[in-house]
Amino acid sequence: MNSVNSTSQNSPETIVFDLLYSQLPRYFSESMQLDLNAKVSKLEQIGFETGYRLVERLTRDTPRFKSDLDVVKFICKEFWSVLFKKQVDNLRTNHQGVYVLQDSKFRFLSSMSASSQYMASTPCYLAFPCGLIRGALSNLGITSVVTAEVTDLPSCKFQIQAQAA
Amino acid sequence: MAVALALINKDNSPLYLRTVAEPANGEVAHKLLYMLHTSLDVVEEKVNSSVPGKNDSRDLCLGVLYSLDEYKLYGYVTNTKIKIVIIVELGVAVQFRDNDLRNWFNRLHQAYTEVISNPFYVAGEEIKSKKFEAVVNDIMRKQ
Repeated sequence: MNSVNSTSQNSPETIVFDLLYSQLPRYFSESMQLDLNAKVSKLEQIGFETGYRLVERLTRDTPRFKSDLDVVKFICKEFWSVLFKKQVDNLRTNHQGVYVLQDSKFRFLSSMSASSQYMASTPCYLAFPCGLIRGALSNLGITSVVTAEVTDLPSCKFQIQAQAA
Repeated sequence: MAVALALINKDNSPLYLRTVAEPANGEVAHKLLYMLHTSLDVVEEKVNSSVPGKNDSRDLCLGVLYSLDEYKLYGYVTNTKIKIVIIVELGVAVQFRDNDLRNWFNRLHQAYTEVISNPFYVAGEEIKSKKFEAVVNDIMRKQ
């Protein structure tokens, strides 16, 4: 985990991943001829699988979580730093299963031009991280629905709606 | 050292079961499997019963679950609710320390995370991995 954290924002490995990632939505729309909904759900599914497996490894040395809030805090800190090289900027909750995570400079959107021109294509780029979060939560015992919302690039809001067990 | 070992999924279905009992010796094998299965209640109790401030241990290792006849059971639960139970003969249990036990559990946990990182493994399936098997063999070997 330390080696991942210590790599700088522009190291070759992060760039390779960013470029690969930016190609994913295009691949699905051009070569598989999927419409927007099918594409988003496919990317979300890939994210889910990834998050599910990844969290098994990330939580190996963490103490046991005592509440759902502990789990969400873990997502905001460790999970976020490993994936997006920073922590969540703001976490809000109504203590009834709704958590809003705000990231003011989201990694996957930071290379996009901050204009409304590309707003329409943001769902494709946020489906994978939504899936990642949902997969991680699911493996940690929280069934949830995760949605993302962008009002102002590159900041981004994720809403987690936890289902009662 | 260990005579039986089980990895149990979050929905309490077995992922991996192993005993040292000879296949011909059905009675011992049955007994060990029976103990592994009945220990799940104790694991559940230990994980859920923590009263804040009293015994709210955040340790993944649960330590001794209980001892029965000539066996002693130890438990471990990961953050993802995968349970690991190990049975050791009482005569052996007095010799080894807490550290050895943690070491075993950590190795098994590590082996499990490697299994789940394998893209061909579907979560919840029975574990069939040579590397995982090697770790188990090392823990179960006679000394």
